[in-house]
Amino acid sequence: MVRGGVGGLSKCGKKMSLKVVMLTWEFPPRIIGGIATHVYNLSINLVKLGVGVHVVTCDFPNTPSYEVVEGVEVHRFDSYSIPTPDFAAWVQLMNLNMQRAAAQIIKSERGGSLIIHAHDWLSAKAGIGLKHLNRLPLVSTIHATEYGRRGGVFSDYNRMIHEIEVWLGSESKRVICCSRFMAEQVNKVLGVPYDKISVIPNGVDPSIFTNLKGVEEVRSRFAERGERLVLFVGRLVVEKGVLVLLEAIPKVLQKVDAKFVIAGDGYLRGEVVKRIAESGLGGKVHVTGYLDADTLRRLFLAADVCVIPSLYEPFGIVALEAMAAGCPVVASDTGGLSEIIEHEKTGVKVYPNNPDSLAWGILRVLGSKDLVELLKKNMREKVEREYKWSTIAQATKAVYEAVLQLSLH
Amino acid sequence: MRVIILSWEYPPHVIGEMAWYVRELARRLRKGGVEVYVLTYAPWEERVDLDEGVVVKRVKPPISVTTNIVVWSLLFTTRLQIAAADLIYTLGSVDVVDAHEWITVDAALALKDRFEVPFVYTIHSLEKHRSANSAAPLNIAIESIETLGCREADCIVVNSEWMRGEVSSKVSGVAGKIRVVEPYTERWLEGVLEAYRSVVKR
Repeated sequence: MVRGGVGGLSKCGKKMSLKVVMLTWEFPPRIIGGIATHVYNLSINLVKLGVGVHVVTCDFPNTPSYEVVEGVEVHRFDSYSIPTPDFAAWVQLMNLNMQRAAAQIIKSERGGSLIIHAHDWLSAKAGIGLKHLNRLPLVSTIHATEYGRRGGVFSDYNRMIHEIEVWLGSESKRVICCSRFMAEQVNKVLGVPYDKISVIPNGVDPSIFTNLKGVEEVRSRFAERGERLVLFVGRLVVEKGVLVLLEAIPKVLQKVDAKFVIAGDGYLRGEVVKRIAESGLGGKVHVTGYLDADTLRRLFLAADVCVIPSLYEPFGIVALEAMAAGCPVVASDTGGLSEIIEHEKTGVKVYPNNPDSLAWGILRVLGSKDLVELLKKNMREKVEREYKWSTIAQATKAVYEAVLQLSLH
Repeated sequence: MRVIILSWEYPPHVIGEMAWYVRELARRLRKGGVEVYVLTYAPWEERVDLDEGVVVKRVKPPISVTTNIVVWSLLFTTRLQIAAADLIYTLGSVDVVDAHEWITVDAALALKDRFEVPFVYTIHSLEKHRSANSAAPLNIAIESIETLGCREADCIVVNSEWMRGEVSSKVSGVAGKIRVVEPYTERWLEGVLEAYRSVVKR
């Protein structure tokens, strides 16, 4: 006879160890989007709470197929590097290998309380297959939706991804979203009922900004003495609002002398460079491309203001990083940003897609030392209170425990 | 003996000859005293039928549109995995999974990994013949699944000596587990049963 299912309690009623198998297509040092950093921080903090964590992820050059990172067991599988007809086909083939790798781990872990945790549609196939074959509870985190990324569902390709997301939502015992905005989207667009959704924010580790040397040196690379420094960090794509920023820059420069750093890369980079040259702002704007973490962290410390003019933002991790670094934030009042930023308490909110409003916000921060002091104090408190990874791991563990309780009945 | 046959074609969902082949094989196995469960694609609604003693369960993939057969098949096979796993949990065990063509390899592998059910891979044709050796990414991806199926199968069934040669020259090290069974002959049922018996753990 085959036996499936999960036992939260052993026969003698003693609580057994809680373990999770994390399915993620990226994990450091393989970093493509935001999921790698998220899963890394979540995993190491779950371990600190006594949860056993196996991360099953794609291989990466010069990186071992098995290693223990701060207590987290990381298993890297062959991520199927042969040609495939499109990205979605690669994802499914990669999932075939992901599922096989995870199946071996689950086999060796039977007896305790085991949870499968899938991140985005990128691990839907493996997560759902493992759930049914092993009769284990599936939790998923939906970081973003195809509908949100594209502003709708237009092509067969979009629809296919959207349908995989719907499938993942319906198969998950619980869906974690990083903001109320995303929870609403997952409810309305993917049809996941609210009583299955938990909102747990992303986190930030403030210690990455402490005791950094060479901040002045980095600042001097981008701004003269007497110039203020305005920082934009994000992919150069329409939804991040970089074109709105370009329109706001001359309005800011009419009032104060400043340099603007646009850090990040994307399909709009050529357009951004062209528009800057055409408007004669070349001397005032640095388009740096993708910056390494060391430089970027120092820029957050060196900048007078960080602008986040996004049109669509499921969460807004840049806002957290700026806040943890003590850099005042001017952000669009949209998506997850609306929930992180409290106007004139932990940042300044401006109207989305409105260059006048954005320029006003930047000048508001640059023009008031009192406001900046207040923001810095409140930002630190808010980061400590709500966005520490230990707090987030605690909330995630509570979700696992709730799901295991459900599985017992 | 209890067997799960995985095939994406089964009448009335007929793409090629394989649909008729699988149905005839399933019926002959049933008459020969084998408990047969066919898991296949549901062109309309999901349903379970009894076809001359053969239990036929039809499932749908989780997507209604696709950009190519590789994505489609690998999402369809997760639904096959689920149907097969539910069956195994209900029945307690099955003796062998007979997976037809590359499309169902993923499901057979998942079942083998989890339940240690022996995996017979029945190859009707190879991608290199269907696509005239095209090296487009689609064909490369399909060929890689065929290779994976050949390596991982406990037994490979082909229908001619010529195919035996084609398969053994395509994937090295698998020649020893290939069996030739000619369909629609007196020896068909016995040949397939011999293939099953060669892998059943008892």
